[in-house]
Amino acid sequence: MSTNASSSNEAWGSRIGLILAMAGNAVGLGNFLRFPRQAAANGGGSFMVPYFIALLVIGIPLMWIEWGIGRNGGRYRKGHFPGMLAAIWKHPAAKYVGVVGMVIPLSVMIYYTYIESWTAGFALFSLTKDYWGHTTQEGMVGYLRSFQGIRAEGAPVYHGSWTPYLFYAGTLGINIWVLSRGISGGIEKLAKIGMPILFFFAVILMGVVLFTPEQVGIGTSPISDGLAFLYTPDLSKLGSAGVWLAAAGQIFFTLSVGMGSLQAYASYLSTKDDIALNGLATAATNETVEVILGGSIAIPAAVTFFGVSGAMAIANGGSYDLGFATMPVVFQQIDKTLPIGSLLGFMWFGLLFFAGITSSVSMLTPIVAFFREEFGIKRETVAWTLGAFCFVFGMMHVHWLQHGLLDEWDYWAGTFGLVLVAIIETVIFMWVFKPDQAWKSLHMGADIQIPKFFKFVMTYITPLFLFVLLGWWGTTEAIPILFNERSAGGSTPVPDASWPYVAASRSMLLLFGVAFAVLIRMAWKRNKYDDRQGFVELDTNRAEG
Amino acid sequence: MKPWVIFLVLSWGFVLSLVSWAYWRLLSDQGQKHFDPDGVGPAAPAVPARAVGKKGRKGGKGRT
Repeated sequence: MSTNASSSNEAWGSRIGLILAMAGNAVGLGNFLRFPRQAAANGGGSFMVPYFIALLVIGIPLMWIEWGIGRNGGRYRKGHFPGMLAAIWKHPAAKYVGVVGMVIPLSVMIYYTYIESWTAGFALFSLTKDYWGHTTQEGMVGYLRSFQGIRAEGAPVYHGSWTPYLFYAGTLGINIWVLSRGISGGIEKLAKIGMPILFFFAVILMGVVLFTPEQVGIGTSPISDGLAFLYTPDLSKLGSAGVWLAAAGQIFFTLSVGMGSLQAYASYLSTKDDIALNGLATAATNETVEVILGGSIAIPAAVTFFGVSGAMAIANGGSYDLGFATMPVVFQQIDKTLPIGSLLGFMWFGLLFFAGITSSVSMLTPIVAFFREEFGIKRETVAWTLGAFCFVFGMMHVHWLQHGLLDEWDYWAGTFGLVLVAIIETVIFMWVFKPDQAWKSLHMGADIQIPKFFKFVMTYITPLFLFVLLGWWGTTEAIPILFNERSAGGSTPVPDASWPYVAASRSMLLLFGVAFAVLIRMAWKRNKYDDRQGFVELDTNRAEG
Repeated sequence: MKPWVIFLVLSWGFVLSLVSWAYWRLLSDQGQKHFDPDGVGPAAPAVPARAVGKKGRKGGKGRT
């Protein structure tokens, strides 16, 4: 890949580093926790039919659109969503529409690193065998709740009240440190270390789980029962619109599209760099991790040690309980015959940690780019200031987890907001930029020619699918959650005691939006941008100040 | 063969084929078959191999 010789440039160091960083961005906790639950709950093997169709009509096209919109923004030294949109849509509204692409990565970063900190804590607790002795699902749920500081009245205390704060601060600190080192010096290096470790841990765990013998008294095996549980088709489910939307949603989340971070990564490429093959390789890497590795660890292990009915109950429960309560019980059971349970626990939570951190380091990249490019502030200064900002708001999540702050943000920013960003970028890239121009842009520096069929898909099918997804979620989830017919994290309404916290959390998201709109206006005035004229194109890669 | 085995083999086969093809192209194409080497965007799509017809090879009248 080409790199710019300019002394002020920041760029990817190598092509493999770029793909690992992009794949690391896409591979997250959902690959190992969300996918197997979705597949098991939505028709098993038959879920894979809408899943792969969604990959072809939403996943891969959106991946190309995000790489394209990002690389095009990079031509004008715009690594942030408002700038990328303004580079294409020469209208004063474009920059404000892009605000959503700033609020979402910032808010997701704040709560995602908190969940990531649980994986860091549990990796350590596995090595020290801190949770050893909690050999039932209920016991481990109690241990997890104690760690999160939301244990029930009178329940045993296993951790100091400072523990979740400490792990959150540490995890956030690592993220910010990597971010402050820059694209090739921080993010790319992390991906080159983290992704091979993730693969290694996942393959070892998959091997151990799939070759675990049948358990006495349970009588289920990981392959003939565990994988069968996940892949036995229920073809009647193919007629359900809910299953098709669940598959589309899974594809959407797993590829990390709609976040603003893939675009920011792609903005560090020049027009001589390929994005067609790189984008495809990124999606393919993520799918391999999800379908083969993600599907062969947690659910087969649950079937082996809890039986089919137990696994069914676990699959219908939450992802976090599957990862943080079920798996530690599994490792303790394996430890009885193969004394490496604590090591396996460390590998499981280690792989989740690397899956998480390779995603979370990307989330602030567009915000860092915004302050550097528009206000000329040094990368390190922006990174650590944003880190302090995230720490303050993150502490609210840690402290008020029981009031549903995390669930609220996860829904509005991490679910609904992502589809909104995807619709905006698809419409602007394919309709405002025009299909021919977008197609030409995707093929600049390309190593492959994308089949022409995808031009039609990206112009009509992908946006249509996204509008249907937004409409479906809007009516079945967004409106009931907005009017408190149900909470964002459950099926019952938010209790009165928690309502002020929920209202405050929504206000914070709105406040972030207003703050970014003001900052964008200041930046445009400061740099004397003319919305109707657009930006001045740079020679090649984006420059680093 | 049980239905779940068929779905598993097809699913794994699909993702493995996709990832293998993508990385094979990444590794084999390094700097050799760049579709748009100057980075200005292709003026026209590449001519597929099948465009070289039998006529061209035999009689020299077709495209070569």
